[in-house]
Amino acid sequence: MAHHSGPVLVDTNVILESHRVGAWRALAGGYRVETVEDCVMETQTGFQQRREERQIDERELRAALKAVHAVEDREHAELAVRVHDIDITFVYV
Amino acid sequence: MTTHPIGARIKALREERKLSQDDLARLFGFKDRQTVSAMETGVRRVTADELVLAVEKLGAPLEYFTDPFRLVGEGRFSWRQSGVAPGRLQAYEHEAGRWIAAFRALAPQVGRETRLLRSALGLTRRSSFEDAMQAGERFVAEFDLGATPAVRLADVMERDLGVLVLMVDAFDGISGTACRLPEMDAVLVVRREVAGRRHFDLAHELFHVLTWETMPPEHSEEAVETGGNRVEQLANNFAGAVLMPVGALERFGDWSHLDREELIMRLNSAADELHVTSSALIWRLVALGELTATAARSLPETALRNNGHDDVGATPPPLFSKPFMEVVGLAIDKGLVSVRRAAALLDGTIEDLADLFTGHEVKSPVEL
Repeated sequence: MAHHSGPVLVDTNVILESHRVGAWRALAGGYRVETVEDCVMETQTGFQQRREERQIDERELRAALKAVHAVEDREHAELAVRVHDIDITFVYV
Repeated sequence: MTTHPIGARIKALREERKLSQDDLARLFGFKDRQTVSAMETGVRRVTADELVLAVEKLGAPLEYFTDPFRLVGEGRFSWRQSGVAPGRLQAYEHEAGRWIAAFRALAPQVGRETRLLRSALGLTRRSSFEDAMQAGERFVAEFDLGATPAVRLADVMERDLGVLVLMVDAFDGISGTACRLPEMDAVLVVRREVAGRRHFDLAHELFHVLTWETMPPEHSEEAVETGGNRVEQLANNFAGAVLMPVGALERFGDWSHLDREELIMRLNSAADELHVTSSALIWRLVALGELTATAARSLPETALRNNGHDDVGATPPPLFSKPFMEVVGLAIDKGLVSVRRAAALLDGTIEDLADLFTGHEVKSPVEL
């Protein structure tokens, strides 16, 4: 079976859920997993929205990630104004 | 496809900051105010650089301009409250606006389009209280609300009129609100109020929804069943007739020959049966000429409080509403919103979200 060797960009939901179901090591160990700074921050700041929150060690998380991208307001703004032109349904993550 | 009204939000913030279009043109480095005007009205698309400028120069976070789950300068509210400071009301209005804005953004994307046409009552400030009561009576008949109109009122407002009705929690003093948006109307009722007050608030706000263009209500009004300005009095008369139409009152017989104790007992039991408060029933009977205002005022408030019950003890209805939760569920199912974002929007955890789906008998879209 073909194995994807490029980057796999994940959001907070993926990080939290894969930790919750015990799939994080397999995911981060098998693929080049990348995310953005905001998502790392959200894993540490109560974004889990669970009655019992699971502790995710930030240092371990960063070590497992192949890249953590900083996204500036300019890039967020670029996406916000381009959403009208992108042929996808905008997802309110 | 989703659109973000960035230009309209820039305009709203400019106006909040008391800046003219010329002022904004200078701030943004435009050569004239026409460019600002075109940007604000959507004639000219806002560029990413301009959006960043707006963030920097107007001092608001980027989300202020882009978050679809937020009302910015577009919702008009009318609150029923008692002694709530304007600042607290404003903060709660922001919170309530998130639920309404989310429903507005998501509903059309899951096949629940808002109504093209709005219903309206042909009443004006010059209408008499009798006109308002007659409109209430006709509303009950037209929408077949039956002998206990309070039971089906919220459902009729949602299903037949397309009004979003939400049961909410709020701090003491707030009873509810009506919200007017260009695309839809919403009514929020505080669910921990006693049932009779909730129903009266709902019927009262329904009047505002149906007369908003001819009689726009004040932003904030006292939550009372009598008195207030002309529009509030019309709304109370309409609400009384909707919840206690003449046809529904006939079964309780004649009120004029009862002694004081019998009158109190019958008021409380009839109010229970109609799902209203005894005080609302009293003033409805006064309006119909079945009781005199003097007799009404002479009744001891303590004997009528909670319709004569020591303990109200009733379980409040679940938060929000079934149609609202159906839209949230469909939006999660379609991948329009994540489970976490939905839970955060509703100020709860994912487990709370699961409970809400169960409480409204809405199938949960995912294993929560």
